[in-house]
Amino acid sequence: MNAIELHGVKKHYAQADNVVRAVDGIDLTLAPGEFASLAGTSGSGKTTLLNLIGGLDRPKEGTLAIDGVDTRDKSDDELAELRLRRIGFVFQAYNLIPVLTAYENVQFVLQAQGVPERLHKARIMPILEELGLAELATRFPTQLSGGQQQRVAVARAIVGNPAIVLADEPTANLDSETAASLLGMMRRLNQEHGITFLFSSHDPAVIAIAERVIRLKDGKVIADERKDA
Amino acid sequence: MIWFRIAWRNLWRNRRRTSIQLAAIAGSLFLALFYHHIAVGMYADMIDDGVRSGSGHVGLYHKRYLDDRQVSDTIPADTLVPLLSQEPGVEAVYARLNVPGLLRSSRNSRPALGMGLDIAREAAHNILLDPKNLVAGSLPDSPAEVAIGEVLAQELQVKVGKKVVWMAQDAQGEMASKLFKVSGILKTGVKAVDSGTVLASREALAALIGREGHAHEIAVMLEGPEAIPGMLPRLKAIASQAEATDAYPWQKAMPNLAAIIEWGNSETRMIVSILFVLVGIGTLNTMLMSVMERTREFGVIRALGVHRGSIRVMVMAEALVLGLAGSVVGVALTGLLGLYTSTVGMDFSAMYQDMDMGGVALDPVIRTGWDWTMVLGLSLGMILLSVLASLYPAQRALAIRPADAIRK
Repeated sequence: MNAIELHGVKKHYAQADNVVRAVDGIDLTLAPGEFASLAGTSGSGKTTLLNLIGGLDRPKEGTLAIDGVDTRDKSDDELAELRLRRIGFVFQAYNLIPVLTAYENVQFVLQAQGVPERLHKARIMPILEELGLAELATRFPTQLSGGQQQRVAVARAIVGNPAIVLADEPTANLDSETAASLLGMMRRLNQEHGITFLFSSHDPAVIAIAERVIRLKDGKVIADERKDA
Repeated sequence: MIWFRIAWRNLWRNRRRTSIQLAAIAGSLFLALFYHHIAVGMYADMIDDGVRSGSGHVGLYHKRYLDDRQVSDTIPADTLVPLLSQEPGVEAVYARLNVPGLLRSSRNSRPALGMGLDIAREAAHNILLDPKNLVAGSLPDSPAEVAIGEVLAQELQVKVGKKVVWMAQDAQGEMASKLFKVSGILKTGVKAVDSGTVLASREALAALIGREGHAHEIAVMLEGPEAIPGMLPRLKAIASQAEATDAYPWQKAMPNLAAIIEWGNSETRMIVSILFVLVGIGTLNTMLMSVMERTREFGVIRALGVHRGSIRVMVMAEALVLGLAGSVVGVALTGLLGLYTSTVGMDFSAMYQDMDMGGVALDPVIRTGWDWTMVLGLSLGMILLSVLASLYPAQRALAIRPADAIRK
């Protein structure tokens, strides 16, 4: 069973008199545990493709399966459930809930999953420690640096034991040193926990760390490169 | 629970807006409750005074009397009063005659209502017989004496010790008259009493109309108005032992007083409704602005996989917390001020001197009451209203498309 499987996926937008082919017939398969990057310039279709894979948007055509689940006929609530249980998201702008502390932001996912509160600490603290956030657990997002906020976002993405983490330009707002550190951390989580990572970037330094690079242009895959082990 | 923690913290993200809405909820609840408690206190006094000087909590009458007020429609008081007095739960029983007629002095004559009372028996309870109402003389202490209202005395140009003649129709429809000496002059603040009432002994008036031992009204005092439903069937059973006699609660016997109180209650309901509509609109606006300002945040929450039901709970929890906090503050304000106004009272004597409603004199010092049912009902209503006002904002939050919201 593949972590991600797309066949002939299309997503077109009407813009004034034109049709924008944001995703234009993509076939793509990611095996469990892959650490892959979507590369391409702005407007190449990276974010739209991540949104389609994450069930935030629906394709115009094609089939899409996440962790073996065909998403074609799923309702909004069923897609939400799929995201909650099997997909973790990391966004470019961190998007932490500002009124919650670092710990509570991570806890939010467990609460939504219905995990009993007595189990939360045992699930959350090891992750915060692994990501170097244990000392910052009681801080609110405004009291954290960009890199720290993005690490909290990664913790939030993995605390629910997802099969896949989708990250849209996760390092775009970070300096190069912090970006490298965050990517190293994501790679370690990928290797140690077997979580499939698919992230988008147009930064060559970031793309370089991926073991597989899927290059997009005008909504099509123009190259699918794998590094030798 | 995390939803309530988020709700509470979210509310204080915009302190000014939340404070204003909180004040609106608390203030409206306070106004509605305080207004109601003034009415409760005032109505309790009116009912108490009304039943003491009027029908009692339950009144016994000839079955036709409340409709026609015919002098001939009397009931056998000397038989019924002992039976009623022995009934457990009955605190006092007063028999009265009401005889309309003409009071004449040597100078003038005026129509008036003659009230025949067992004066010694009622003196301690009937506010009409309160010694403070006497501006001159004393209450009648013999069948040959009467006390009259101050305005009536002025119009007849009589003083204490002067003679007056009471002319009235007797039970057979014949004219009857009797000479009385004025023993006292009353000023109650009730216009109908001060300008048109003659207080006499029941014995004297019964003899005048030819119905010795009878009364038009037997007022039965109970422990309070709340005892009426339980006691009424038993009192009706006693009343049925006399011919054409029945027992009625005070609302039926004094419909004017009951109508005034019902009108007041309707007014309270109208004020509460207006306040609730205004608060509902305010809460809806607050919640809608709060949701629209957090479009991106709701998009992220949806993207994380939080279900629609949980998002609805998040928005409604904010409204619930807002309504709850506002209600607590509103009830606290009402309670604090109520503590003062229920004991010390609010003195309106500078504005009102003699004021009566439904034939009952109003005390210019109004003491508020306390109605737990209304406190709980309005507080829960306010909380429910806040939650209902958040339904549309919650719907707007659900309509946010995560892919679009996150891009913003």
